[in-house]
Order: sequence, then C-alpha cells, then structure tokens
Amino acid sequence: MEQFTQLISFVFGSAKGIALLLLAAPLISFVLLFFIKSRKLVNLVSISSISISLLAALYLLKISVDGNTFSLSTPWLTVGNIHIDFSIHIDIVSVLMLTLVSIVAIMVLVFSTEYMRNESRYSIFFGYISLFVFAMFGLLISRNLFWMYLFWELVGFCSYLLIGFYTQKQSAILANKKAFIINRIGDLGFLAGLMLLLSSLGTLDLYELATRIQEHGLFVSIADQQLIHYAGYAFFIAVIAKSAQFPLHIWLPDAMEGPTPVSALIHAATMVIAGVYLLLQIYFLLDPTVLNFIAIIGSFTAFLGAFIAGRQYDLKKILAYSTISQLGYMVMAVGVAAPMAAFYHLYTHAFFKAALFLAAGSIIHRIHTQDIREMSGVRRLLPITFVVYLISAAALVGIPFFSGFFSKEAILNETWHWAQLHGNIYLLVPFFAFAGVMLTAYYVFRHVSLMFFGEQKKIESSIKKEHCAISVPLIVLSTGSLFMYPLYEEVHELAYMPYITISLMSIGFVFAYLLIYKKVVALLPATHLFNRLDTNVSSGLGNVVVYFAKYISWFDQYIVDGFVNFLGNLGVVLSGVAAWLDKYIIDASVNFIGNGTQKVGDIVRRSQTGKVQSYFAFSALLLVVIIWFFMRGI
Amino acid sequence: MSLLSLLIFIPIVGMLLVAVLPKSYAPVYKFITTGIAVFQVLLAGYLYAHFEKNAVFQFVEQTNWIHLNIGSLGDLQIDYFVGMDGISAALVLLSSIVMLMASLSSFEIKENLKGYFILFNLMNLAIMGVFLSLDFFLFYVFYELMLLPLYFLIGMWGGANREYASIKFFLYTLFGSVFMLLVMVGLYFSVKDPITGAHTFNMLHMMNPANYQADGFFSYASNSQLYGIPTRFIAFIVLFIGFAIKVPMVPFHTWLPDAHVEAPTPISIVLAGILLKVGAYGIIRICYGIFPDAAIHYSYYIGLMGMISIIYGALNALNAKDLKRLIAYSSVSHMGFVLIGIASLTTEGLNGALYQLFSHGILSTMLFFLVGVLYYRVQDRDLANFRGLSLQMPKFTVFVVIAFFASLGLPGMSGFIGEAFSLFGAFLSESTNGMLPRWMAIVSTLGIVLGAAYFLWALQRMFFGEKKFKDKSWEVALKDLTFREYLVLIPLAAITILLGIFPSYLFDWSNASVSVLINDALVNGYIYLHQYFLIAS
Repeated sequence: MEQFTQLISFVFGSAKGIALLLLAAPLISFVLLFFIKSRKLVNLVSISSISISLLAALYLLKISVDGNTFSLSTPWLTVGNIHIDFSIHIDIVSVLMLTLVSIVAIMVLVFSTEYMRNESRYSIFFGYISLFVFAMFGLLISRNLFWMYLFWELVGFCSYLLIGFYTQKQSAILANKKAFIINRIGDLGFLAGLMLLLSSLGTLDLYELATRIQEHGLFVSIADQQLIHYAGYAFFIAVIAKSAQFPLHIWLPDAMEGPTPVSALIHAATMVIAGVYLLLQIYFLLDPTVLNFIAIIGSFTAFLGAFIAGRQYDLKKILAYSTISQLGYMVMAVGVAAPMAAFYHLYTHAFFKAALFLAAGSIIHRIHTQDIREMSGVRRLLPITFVVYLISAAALVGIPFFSGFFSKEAILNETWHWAQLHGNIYLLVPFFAFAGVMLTAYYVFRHVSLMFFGEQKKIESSIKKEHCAISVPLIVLSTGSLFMYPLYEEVHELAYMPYITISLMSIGFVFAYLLIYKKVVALLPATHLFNRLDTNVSSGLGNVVVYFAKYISWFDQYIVDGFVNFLGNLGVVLSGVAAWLDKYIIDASVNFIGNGTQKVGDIVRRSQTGKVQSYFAFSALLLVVIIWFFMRGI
Repeated sequence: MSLLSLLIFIPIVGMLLVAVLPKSYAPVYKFITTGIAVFQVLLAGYLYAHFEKNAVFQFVEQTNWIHLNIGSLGDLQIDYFVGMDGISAALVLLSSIVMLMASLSSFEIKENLKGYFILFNLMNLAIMGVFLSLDFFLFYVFYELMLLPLYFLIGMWGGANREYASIKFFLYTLFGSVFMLLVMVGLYFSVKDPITGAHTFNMLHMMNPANYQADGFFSYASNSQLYGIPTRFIAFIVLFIGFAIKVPMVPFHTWLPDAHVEAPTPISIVLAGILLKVGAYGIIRICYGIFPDAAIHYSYYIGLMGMISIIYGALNALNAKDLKRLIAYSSVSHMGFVLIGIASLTTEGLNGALYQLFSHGILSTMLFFLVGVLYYRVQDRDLANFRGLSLQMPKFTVFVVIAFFASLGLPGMSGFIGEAFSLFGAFLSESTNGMLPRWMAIVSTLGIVLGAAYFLWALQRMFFGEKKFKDKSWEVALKDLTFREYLVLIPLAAITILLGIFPSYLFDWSNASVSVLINDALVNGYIYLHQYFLIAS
C-alpha cells in the first residue's frame, strides 16, 4: 500500500511522472481494448486515455514554455562498450508535438466512432490506434536514438496493421506490404546511422552526442568526422522513407487504401512527420554538404508532389500527394538551415491536413466514392464539411491570414536567403519551392471546385447532414488553421515575399480555372476572351501542364515505382537463380559425392568375383605397376 | 548428485519409465516426457536465477571417469567435468524450454510411441550434456549421442521422403564428427594437466597456451605444419566445418531444408531450436576458445560466409513454395547473423550472437510449431493452397503475426536485439580489432529488408485476402487453436516480447564470460600469430 502511494505521488508529483503517465495511458488503453467488446466502453476507454495524455501534455507545456527542459534516464542495457539507457526528454519542441499528436488523435477517434460504425472489428481498430499513439509518444520523447529507432519501427508496424485493416481487400494488403518494405529500406539507413555514431562518438544519447560534438568539436578525428558525415546521409535515408520523400515516396499514395481516419492521423498529421522530427533532433550532426543534399531532395519532392496531385482524380490520392509535397517543404526547410521554420510548418500542416482528410472521410462516408469526377455540388449536401474544407484548403495553399501562409512564408524566406548565399545550381531549390506554391494553388482549386460546386448529384441516403461525431472534430481541427501565427519569429524576412507568393497562387488559380473549371463545370458565363484563352492558352500552356504532369505521373509509376518493383522482381529472380544453384549445383554436388561413393563401391564390389584366377591376374597387374613405379624412381 | 548432473541425467528416469511401462500405458508416455521437461525447465530456471553474473564457470563438478594406464603412452585420463558459464547458461535454459515445447508438440505423434519417447528422452539427455561438458571427450560422447536419436526420429516418424532426409542429415553431420575425433586425439597428446602432469581432455586446460607441450602436434610453440599450413589452422578449419554444417553455414546447409521438411513437427523444433545452436556453441567454445590464433586468422572469411548466408538464405526463403522450407531457409539467414557476430571478435558482436541464438531458438520453435498446427489439420503447407487464413483462424493468425514480425526483427521483440548487436559488433570490429571491414555489416543489413520481404509476402499470400483454400473440406478441418497449442504459443510469444523489452536478462548473464573469452582469444591468439610469422619470416 505504501509503495502504491509512493507510485501515485511519483506519477502526479513530478513532471517526469506526468511524462510517464502520458506515455502509459494509450498503452494501457491498447491492452484493455483486447478484452472489451462493448462499443461504448471502447469509445470511453480509448478517448479518455488519450485525453489523459492530452492533459498531461498541456501540463508539461505549461512547465516547458518558460524554456525548462528536463529528462529522465534509467540504465537499460550494457553490452561491451555500448551503454543504452531508457531515457526521455521534455523540451518545448517535444511537448508541442505531444500536444499536437494527442489533439489529432482524439479528434480522429471521435470521428471514427461514426465513420467505423459498421465495422465488425471495431475494438481492434481502436486498439491499433491506441498502440500507434503510444508508439508515437515514445518516438517523440525518446532521448536515446536507439529507443527512437524502436518506436520508429513500432509506428511503422502500426501503420502496417492499419493500412491493411481491411484484410480482405487485396489492394489494401498489397499496399501495407509495400509500405512496410519501403520503410524497411529506410530503417537500414537508421540502423547504419546508429552503427556509424556508435563507431565514431560511442554513444546514442542525444544529449551526450550534443555535448561530445560541442566539447570535442575540433578534436574529433578526421576519420570520425567522416563517419559522422556518412551518418547524416544514413539518417536521411530513414527520413526519405518515413517522410515520403523522393524517390521513396511511392508508398504513401498506396497507403490511402487504409481507413480514412487512419490516413488523417498517421499518413498526414503524425507518423509521416516523424522523419522531419528526426532531422530536428539530429540537426547538430548534419554538416553543410548533407544539408544541401537534404534541401535539394526536399524541394524537388515539394514540386513533384504538387505536380502529381494536379493529375489525380482520387480524392485521397490528391491529399496524399499534397502531403508528400508539404513534407518536401519541411525537409527543404531543414536543409536550408531553418529547422524552426520546418517545425512551424509541420505544426500548421498537421492541423489543416488532418482536417482535410477527415473532411474527405466525411464525404466518402456520405456518398461512398473517392472519385472527384463523380462528385459535384457536395457543398449543399455537407455544408459543415464544405466550410471546413475551404478553410483548411486555404491554409494549405497559403492564402494570407490562414496558418499555412505564415509557416510557408517563413520557409520561403529562409530558402530564398539561403539560395542567395549559395547561388548557382542551388537557385533551383527556391525555384522548385515557388513552382510548388503555384501548383498547390492549382490542384487545390481544381479538386475543390469539382467536388463542391456545380450541380448536386442525386444521392439517396437517409442521413440528412453531418453527424456530430463527424462535424465536431472537423470544426476543432479547422480552427487550428485560423489561429496559429504567433509561433515563429522570422529570421530573414523579405518584404516582397508575400507579393511573390500571392501572385504565384493567383497564376495557379487562373490556370486551374481556365483548364478545369471552364471545361468541365462552366459555372460562369463564358466571355469571348475567356474562350480564346481557354482554347489557346489553356490548351497550350494547360496541355503542357497536363502532359508534363502525366509524364511525371508516368515517371512516378513506371520509373520510380517501377525501379522499386524491378528491385523487388530482381530479388525474386535472384532468389530463383539462387534456388536453382542450390538445387542443381550445390546440392547436386553433394548428391554426386554420395552417389559417386556408391558407384566406386559397386565397381570394387564387382571385382570381388571370388575366382582365384582373377585375383591372381589383378595381383600380377599390381605388381607390374609397383615395379614400374620403383624402376622409374631409379 | 549435483544440480547439473541432475539436469543432464533426469531424462534417464523418463527413458526407464517409458521402457518399463507396458504398451497399454502408451498414452501416459507423453505425460512422463513432458513432466521430465517441466522439471528441467524449473531446474534450469533455478540455475539461471542463481547464476553469479560476474563469475565464469559455476556449479562445476569434476570427478575421475576413466583412468587407464596404457603403457608407454602414460595414463589415459578422462574426467566427468561439467560446469556452466555465461555462454552456456542461456543455451541450457533455452534447451530446456525448447524441449518442453517439443514434448508438448509430441502429443501429435500417433505411432510406435514407446520407441519415440525413449529416443526423445535420450536426445534430451545428450543435448543438456553437450552444453554443459567441459571435458572434450565427454563433449564428443554427448555430441555423437545426440545424432543417433535424431537420425531415427527423422527416419521413422518423418514425412514421405524421410529416409532420404535422415540419411542426408546423418552423413552430413557425421562428416564433421569424424574429423573432430582426430583433432580431439591430437589435442589430447599436446596438452598436459598442469597438476597431475598427465595428458588431459580438459577443455579449460586446452584453452591455456601454457599447458601445451613444446613438441605437441597442436602446441603453440612447435609450429608443426602439414602441407605448409600450421597444424593448428588445419585443426581449426576441420572443426569449424564440422560445426558450420550444424549451424548451418552456406554452402553446407542443404541438409537443413530437407531434414526440416521431412521431420515431424517436434523434431523440426529440436533441430532448429537446439541443434543449430550446438553448432554455434561449438564454434564459440571450441574453435574460438581453443584455437584463437586460427580464429583471428580466419575471422574475415567466417564473417564473409556469415554475410553470404544472410543474403543467400533470405533469397532462397523468398523463393520457397512450402512454408516449412521458407522457415528453414530463414534459419540459414538468421544464423548468418550469429556467424558474423562471432567473427567480429568483439564483446558486442559475440553477445549479440548469443542473444540471436536464444532468440532464434524461441522463434524457430514458435514458427515450426505454427506450421505444425496447419499441417496437423490438413496435411498441407504449400503457400499457394491457402488464402485468407486470418478469417478462418484469427487467433492462430495473431501468433503467426507475432512470430513473423519478431523474426523479421521488429524492435520490441527479441529478434531485433540479436540482429542489431551482431551487426553493431561487426561494424565496430574495424575500429576496435580490425577483424571485419565495415562494408560487411552494411551489406548484411540487406538481409533485414529481405527478411521483411519474404515474411510479409507469405503473410499476405496465406493469411490475408479473400478466404480460399485448395479443398472445400478444409474449411471444416481448419479449426482455430486448441488449449494445448495455446500452452505452447503463449509462453513463447511472451518470452520473445519480454526479451525484446528487457534484453539485459540475457546480456547481463553473458557479458562477463564473453569479455573473458574475447580478451583471452585476442591475447593468446596474437601471441601465437606473432611467433608464427616471426618464424615464417
């Protein structure tokens, strides 16, 4: 009893205890959900446990907002010279992330109570989500890279389970396998990074790494510096896979086969940003060459994702490519040495993208299609969804006074500043970033107009409007897109940047309007000028855009994805060759030795005829041979 | 009688009881065997709990066994000498657990029960003896004693092609043991007991260079050679190949898929769960313990073969059509991590290798048992004949998912720690002792991706998607797990998860012994290598 009260006083009496409580709550919920079948109880347990985590996170936020950081560390294992502790750290970045994850998770769970209503494996779904939240919390507060790796893979495993939640759906189980295997390639990078750091700095603890780099700075030998340099690349491979960067982004669009709330939570707001978070944590290890590489990959991904999104007709795929593009911006921001700008965008993006996905879920739930060509006039059918979608999409595009505007502006300012310092080929980085802004406006305008405007299609359904379990999360998340600008102080602010971005957005809107809207929906009376523009400019420029997007999409599907598939097939072919070798060469030689012995035995046995004459003949022959042998020697 | 002897010889009680009880008591045999196994688990657990973590050999028991005066050759001195250190402690515990699971799995055996359970108990005895012997002769006796029951158990209770498989298994492993006999005799005449002055089979004496006679065939100083190669190197190679066959290391592995596919489920479990570990244990204890100079000399190639085994086994597993064959090849791949960990000659790598041995023992037991569950119901295990098993047998699928993900190295489960630390050791080797280059560790990590590929592919093809079986009647036959099957699977799943979260329950036990072994190996090995190359130049 005394121990119990001690435990209670530890948990509630200190910030460390609160942090452990935050971590434990979703895990307890996961375990409990194995035994609970009643849906109300499932809702109660899962939502309240993460609410406890949210309260804990808010408490920690209150403490750490003043710049307090604290950590907790207990020995976990010692092998030879490797010491690994179980250690957690709480600082403002990790606490903000914890808060973010808990808010989005609660909203997604509330949403799922309605969205997954007809699912027979209801409690399992909520259990998986709880496990995921636990793993994500663990990833965020780990102070040791080894533990971070543990949770890094655990979130991937939860993602695997949830993408393939509909186990009967062939496309879903192919998608989750693909997602896991591609993430596994990234894991190799992580593992290699761990080995390189162990070999050079001898520890995996983030604090110790930081102090060793600071204290020894110049004393780190050249060879070890080289290893740390490679470690930067190795960890970036992990980031490429987890945060869906070119060329390993291909798993994310496929991952949309999972239930939509999962896409909102895992594949938009939380798990995919783990890569960016990792970059923030190991930022001090990255040298300029690695950062430049990161910036290039990030900016190209930002551009590529936006481009492909403009070609898609599947609503969730559009959002997936949009996520890829936005993650590209974050990664690019880290690359241009603006990690806080990346974090800012990560934060705003999590809210508006989760809102967009949930709104998409609301639409899919209502009209049972994901194809935007089969939707139109949804705004009358789902008014709240429409408003939420509009607000969040505005934040996504970066329209002034919405959250995305501020964060994207911060990134673009830093990028521009960085590019001017570097010059030359590095000017491509802001070019891609700006092109991405335009294309974002384009694809958002395109799909929003197709979905929400125009004639309302006849849909027979008994549900009149959004269920409150759907509308409340949408409203909560979209408010995040409205008020989120005082977070960041810009370092390199450029006065003319808003004008550039706004004009780029406008160009994007006009393209979209001319190309898609006019052709397909024809809402406004067409003027002569617009007709001319439509036929000439849009069919000219627009076709270029369309074709190029088509090529990029083709490239994505056949070259990038194809290469990965090729590697997969190559593995299968090689394994075939290996199996052939195994059977006909290695095994056959073994059998040959076996059979050979038998054959020799047979021959020898046949010589045992039992006739004295043949023995004599044989002996005589042998004698001749021996004599000849000795004579030769003389 | 001390505890270790009790642990080794308690199966004799089982053998006698099974032999004495008449055929009408046949249903009781399996309970007797299981009872013995339970007792062994408890005893091994007790020993493990009371193991002094910072000491080396414990619970030691040494008595004269055979003492003969053989004329001019002096006294023949063979001791009954058993003991446990950090390297064998975990393996003894593992063996007792695997034997318990195998005996629970033996409930499915239906024919000729008397013979089966006598042989099973005999095998149990030999296995414990191998891990605990510290006298080379005793080790050899137990080692050979283990093969005999295995040969009959595969050959008589196996599948359609069982005779081919059992003879192949027997020839392969016998090939290794014949040379072991020669090396053992050679060592005997090279080493003298520092106290009695007589020749000895004591392995601890063999590990100390001071005990070698100056003119011994295998002594450090004599620098005797055969075909221009130092005899110690030849002895190492010969012993290594013998053990590498057991491990199995590519290209000596082809007995394994056949033996596994043909063996009945409990014997597959013993093969994968324990026999492969005997090979690795032999490499650590005998090859690296007694011939550290040659070990240093050949570590590069052993690491290389380990790397090749990892990739090659994984590729073959990817192509497998039969689930049991897939798991057999995955064993080849997983044991490659053990080899590379040993070859690194670092404390981290060898600890990782030992951890991987334990983890693989638990996981392969679980995997073969799971295949057995399927095979017992429909006598089929082709990947192509099953679809959507998760709908038919959801609880079974849960354990399959746990076993597959633990095997493919998901953190939080035991497989990951073993693979990670073997690779850490291999990677650190270049900067600490220069045994293995870094690229070997990096290339080996590819095995982790391939591992994910073949396990997930199998999972996707057999367990997910629409329900569809080769035969309609299977829908009735494929019932979910029974109580006895839970009894096997739940503890195994719990062990793999607990060890994944608390790896120090193995590492703390092995750390001290491994450090001593690595330190001795490097010091003694380099002393000799210097001498050898001084003479050579």
